[in-house]
Formats: sequence, C-alpha cells, structure tokens
Amino acid sequence: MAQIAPTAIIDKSAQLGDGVRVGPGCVIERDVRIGDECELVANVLVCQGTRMGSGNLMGAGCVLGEAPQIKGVPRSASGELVIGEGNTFREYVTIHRGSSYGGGKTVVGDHNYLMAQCHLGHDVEMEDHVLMANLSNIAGHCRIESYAWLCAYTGAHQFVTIGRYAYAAGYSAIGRDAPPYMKVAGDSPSRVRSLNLTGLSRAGLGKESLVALRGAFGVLYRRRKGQTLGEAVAALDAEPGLDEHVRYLVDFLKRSAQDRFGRYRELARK
Amino acid sequence: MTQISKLAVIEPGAQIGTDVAIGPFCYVGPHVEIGDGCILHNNVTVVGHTRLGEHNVFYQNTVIGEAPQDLKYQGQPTETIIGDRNVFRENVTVHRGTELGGSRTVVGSANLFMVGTHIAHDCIVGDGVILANQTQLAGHVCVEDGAALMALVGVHHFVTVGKFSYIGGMTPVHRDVPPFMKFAGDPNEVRAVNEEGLKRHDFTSEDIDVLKRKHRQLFRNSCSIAESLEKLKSQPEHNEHVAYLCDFMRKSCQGRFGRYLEAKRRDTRADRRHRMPAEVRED
Repeated sequence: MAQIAPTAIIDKSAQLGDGVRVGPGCVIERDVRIGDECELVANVLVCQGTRMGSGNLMGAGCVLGEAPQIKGVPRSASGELVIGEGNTFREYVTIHRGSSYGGGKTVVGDHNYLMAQCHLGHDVEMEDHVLMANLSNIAGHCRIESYAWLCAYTGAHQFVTIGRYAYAAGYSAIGRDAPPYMKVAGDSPSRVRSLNLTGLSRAGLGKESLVALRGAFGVLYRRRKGQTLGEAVAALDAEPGLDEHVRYLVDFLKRSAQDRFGRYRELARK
Repeated sequence: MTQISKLAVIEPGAQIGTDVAIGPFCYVGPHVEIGDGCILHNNVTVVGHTRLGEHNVFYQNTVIGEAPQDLKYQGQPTETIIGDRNVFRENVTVHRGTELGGSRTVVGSANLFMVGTHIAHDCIVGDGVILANQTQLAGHVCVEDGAALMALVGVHHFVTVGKFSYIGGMTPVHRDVPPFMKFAGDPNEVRAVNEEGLKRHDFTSEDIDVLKRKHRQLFRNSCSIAESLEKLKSQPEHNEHVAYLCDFMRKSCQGRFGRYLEAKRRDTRADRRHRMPAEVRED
C-alpha cells in the first residue's frame, strides 16, 4: 500500500508500486511509473514520461524528468527518463528527460548516489554505482560508466564519456572523455593525473590487473619526450595478451581519439 | 483565462494579468505584478516589490524578488523588474536591489536562465542572454544583450559582460568581458572572436572578419591596450561594432580592477562594517 500525504498531487494515470511513500507537496504527472518501496521526501516533482524501478530515494525539491533545456523545445515535448533501482537522489537534484534530437531517452542505472543539487542533462546515459558529489553538473548526451566518482562542482561538457572507475577531482571541467581507471583534475580542460588506485582497490581488482594498469599508465602518461598519446596507445594496442582492463582502457582511448575534441559521442551527433 | 491552483497561495494585493497559469504550492506576495500569459509551474515563490512582464515561464523551486544577500541592505522596499518571454528553469534565484545600488534588479526579455542560476541584487541583464547551469552573477553585474555564459561561471561584483560575448564554463570572471569575444580561463583571457555566437545573431561575415582583425590588433600585439586603441581610431573599418568595442575597452581599462562599474560603487567604509544582516541586527 502506498502512503501518500494529503497535499501530494498525483495524476490518475500514474502507477505507484507497493510501499511507495510520497511526502507533502509532491507532484507526480501523467504516465509515470514508480516502483516498489520508493520514497519521495517532500516537494518532489516527477514529470511525464518518467519510469523508475524499486527502492529509489528522492530528497526534497528533486525534479525528475523535466523538459530538456533546449531553446525552442516546449515543456510539453515528449521524451523519457528511465531509472533503475536503489538510487539515491538528494535535495534539489534535477534530471531532464531525453530530447528527440538525442534519441528520446535519459537513462539512469542502479545503485547510483547523486548528492545535493546535482544535475543530469537530457539524453545522458548513466550506468551503475556512480557517485556524484554536490553540484556536479553533467551536460546533455554524456555517458557515465559504472563506478565513476565525481567530486563536488565538477562539470562535464556535452557528449563526454566518463569511463568506469574514473575519478574527477573537485572543480574539474571535464571537456574531453575521461579515461577509465584514471584520476582527472583541473580545468581548461581537466587532465589525467594518476591511476585511480583508491577506486581500483575498493573495486577488488586482482593484483595482476593492478600491476598491468600501473604499467599501462606509465606507458600512456609518463611517455618519453616527443611521443604522442596516440603513439603510446598504438604501442600498447599492439602488445599480445593484454589484461582485460588494460584492453578496455586502450579501446576507450582509441575510440575517443577518433573525434577531434576527444569526445567519442560527438561522432554520433546528427 | 487565468488559472490558479487551489493549492497556491496568492496574497491580497497581488495583481495577476490575463491567461496566467499558477501551479500548486506557488507563493505570490502582496506587492507583485504578474503580466499576461505568465506560467508559474509548481513551487515557485515571487515576493517583494516585483513586476513580471508578459509570457515568462518559471519552473520549480524558483525564487524571484527575495531580499539581497548583502549586509548593507537596510530592508527598504526595493524592486525586481523582469521583462517578457524569459524562461527561468529549476532552482533559479533573483534577488531585489539594495538601496545603495540603485534600488532595483532589472532583467530584460527573451533570456534563458538554466538550472540553479543566480542573479544577485542590483544586476542589470539585457535581452537574449543565456546563463547555463549554476552560473552565478554577484551584485551590481551588468550583462549586455546576447551574451552567453556557460555552466558554473562565477561573475564578480561590478563586472560588465559585453554584448554577444561568450564565457567558457567554470570561468571565475574578475574583470569586464569585451563584447563580441570569447572569454575564459583563470587567469581570465580573451581567446578569440565569438564567431559562432555572432553567426547565430545574424552578423554578416564581413562584420565578423572585421572584428577578427580588430581582435588581433587589440589583443594579439605587443603594444599596450591604450596604444592599440589609439591606433585603431585612425584606421579604416571603424564601423559601429568596432567603435562599441573600443569604447568598451577604454572604459574598462580606466575602471578599477578592469571593472568599469566600480566607479558606480556607492557604499562607504561605514556601510561595509555591518557584521550581520538587517533582519537579525540588534541596533
């Protein structure tokens, strides 16, 4: 049985699962599906076209599924926001639904934690177990892979891919794809600084993989003078029997290098 | 037909125009005027002596006309004036003016203020401006027509952002931003002519080429700005845009800290000695 505050406004066509708790001042629009055991604390808005799985928490003032911030696109434009399960969205998190330009869907996976005032733009794809600290803002069409960790005030430029187990330090301006397993920091735009050793040890990667990734980091980011990143990537690529994580990293870097801005997803731009 | 939700609270004295829509949990104070065709989605707060023009759209958690975050504000009924056809996205805040700063905050028309942006006391924002996510304007900032500020930009007090300029994301803006230029970096730098922005605002390609040449002559030679400005006066191609740019640069360079509007600062040492906001001060 859902528990709904008397001042909540829920459209008749919205479907709420078992044990859903809706606090005062919440507004749930038409064609919304909310899974079992979700909680909307207070003044949460869930817009048309949003569906989410079970066990999600939405803090006060969250706005999920609003229209994209694209000039000329009206608030009534159709689009979807698909959210998995076990996510936490803290106060004033905003997530915008997909645009017709980008394929129509913003997707968020499972067990992500978005802190206060984080923002996901239209057509973003977020995988699982991502952590975003306060005021992280992700522009439209970005992709954030599993276990990425974004510190407070990071900004991701549109069409950026943030690789799995990547770490972005506070105030990073992520203007290019952030490689998996690496720490990026700084602005104008951010650069790879080191291997994300803390994240990798928390992830429980085996000793051989850690050693292989350390080696790969050295080859790629501690190059001798005059050697380009592209050459270093090619050198690694040619090695036989690469560790699966190094192979993932090399493939990621090859894809990013295809775009002149280092943003692989720009290639799919119409 | 004006439609006001039963769950909205409109204080007596507020003037609401025709075809206005006000959603649930909105709060409109007694000294507010809302122009025809405005749309307030849910949880919008409009207080103070505030005048909203026509066909503005306000998304959730927006707060318009609240007290300035300024220790020298004395609690007087200063104003917030907003033009027509602006879009205020979620969590946008606009604060009213301070007595010493001109007593009003003014926003023009056809602007887009994205999620989380903030317009502080005594700001003057023109028309066709875009503020991307979380960009904050400090007090007394002037943003001229057509300027585009990207996400997470912080603009220092008394800065003037020139017309049709572009400020890159995450830039802390300390000094005036020349019109028609791209501006970014810490420390701040003029990077290039804002070619894309000028094209979108229908500048001709001749105009853009002229501005590119002037950009090189002003910002890419080894003379000082003052010398370059002198040389430019006598050169051909001194059209209205170049004249505007030169006047702007002249004013900025004379301004303290490169901020022309510092000359309009009216607060004295005594004003700056307040340690607590007016609401909780004991004297």
